Amino acid sequence: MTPNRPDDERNDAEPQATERNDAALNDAELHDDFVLPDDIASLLAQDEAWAPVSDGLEASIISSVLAEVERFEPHAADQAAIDAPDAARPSVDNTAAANVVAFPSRWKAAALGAAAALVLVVGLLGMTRLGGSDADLELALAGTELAPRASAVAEITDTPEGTRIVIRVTDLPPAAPGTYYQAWLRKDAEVGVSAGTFHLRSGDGPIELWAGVSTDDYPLLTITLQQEAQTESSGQVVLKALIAQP
Amino acid sequence: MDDLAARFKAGDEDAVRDVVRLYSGAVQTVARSMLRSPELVAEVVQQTFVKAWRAAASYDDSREFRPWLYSIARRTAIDVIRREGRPTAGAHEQEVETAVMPMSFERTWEIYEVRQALDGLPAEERVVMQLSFLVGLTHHQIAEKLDIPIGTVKSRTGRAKKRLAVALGHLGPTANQTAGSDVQGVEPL
Repeated sequence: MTPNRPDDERNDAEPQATERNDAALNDAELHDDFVLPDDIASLLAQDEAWAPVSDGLEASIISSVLAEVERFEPHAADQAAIDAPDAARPSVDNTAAANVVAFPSRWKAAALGAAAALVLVVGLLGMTRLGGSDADLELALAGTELAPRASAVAEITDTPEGTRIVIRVTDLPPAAPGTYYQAWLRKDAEVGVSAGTFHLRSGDGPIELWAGVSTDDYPLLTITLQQEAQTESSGQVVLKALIAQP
Repeated sequence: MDDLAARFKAGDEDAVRDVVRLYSGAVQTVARSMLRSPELVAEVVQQTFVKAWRAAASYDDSREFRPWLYSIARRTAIDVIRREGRPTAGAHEQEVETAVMPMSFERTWEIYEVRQALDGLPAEERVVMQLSFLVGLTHHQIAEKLDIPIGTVKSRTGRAKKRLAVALGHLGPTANQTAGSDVQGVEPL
């Protein structure tokens, strides 16, 4: 591909010019002789320069930043919950789209960040068989930076019908209207299979999910926040764990 | 942008929306130039804006907003690359293959600026540029595809190039090189 179009088509304009209303055409319209520098032209030929941002991602970013704003200057009604982070989940605006990133203030963000790191470490250490159930495997999922307070325990059972996954989540807020959570078993960053969806709007009891692939081949379990009408993973991972086979 | 940056810093909802819409494409370009996984790219884009707002209190209004946001985006992408490349507890293998060969700081900055300039083009000029430079169509093919006269394709392409040259003139010494034209007669982005 030649980044800067040569002038070899300039004559092509003449037949078109006669087809158009000539009064609407001026000399400038017939010329594209401006040559961009090669380095800029080469950048224009790269996919990265053009890839659209999905509406879902944009909406998710806006929600997350506004959640930060909200938490920085919390309403009085939220203050008790902020001051007592272990208290029951606050009911005001406590939806996933608004609170996936939910630091109460900047100085508290640092403290919660440290806590999130601890959760992550615990989560990673928990990616081994824990025992205590009929499941083939039980593992802990750690909250990502998008949901640092969230965690979950998953029981995974290989059945003749498929892979059964039962998840119990903690501190993962309900998905806002228009959004939902989706579980994935992933082979790698590019290949994943959905294991089902849920929203948590009426409670956070055990969630039963099914996948038609084996954790032997798809060892990464992730939970993403999705926008309705989204058919592929949003990339907004809120919980994840690497499955360590016993 | 100064006013927008100030309102963003103040947490104005409209400003947050405007900043995300203005810059999410450019930030995504940085992430895509450094990471392969679409999930991680999305994570970097989201984290960049969240971090930007968290850091906005210390943002110096006298500095340009765009380079400041770029530095956050690149640093966020590097953090994700490091995190994903780190063996997990228990000496597991790397979780997923994540990073592409990262572009240099300068190259990533250039493509960030190019994307920002492209997002500032009028839609009708942007589409002919995309079909020409990315897809590789000729003027004639673009005219057929868009069902517009070839003269219009050429004029839109010419105007778009001039706008880009104006907007990106700071990237290199050759931006104003032309073949029989100059960059007068177009509004800067």
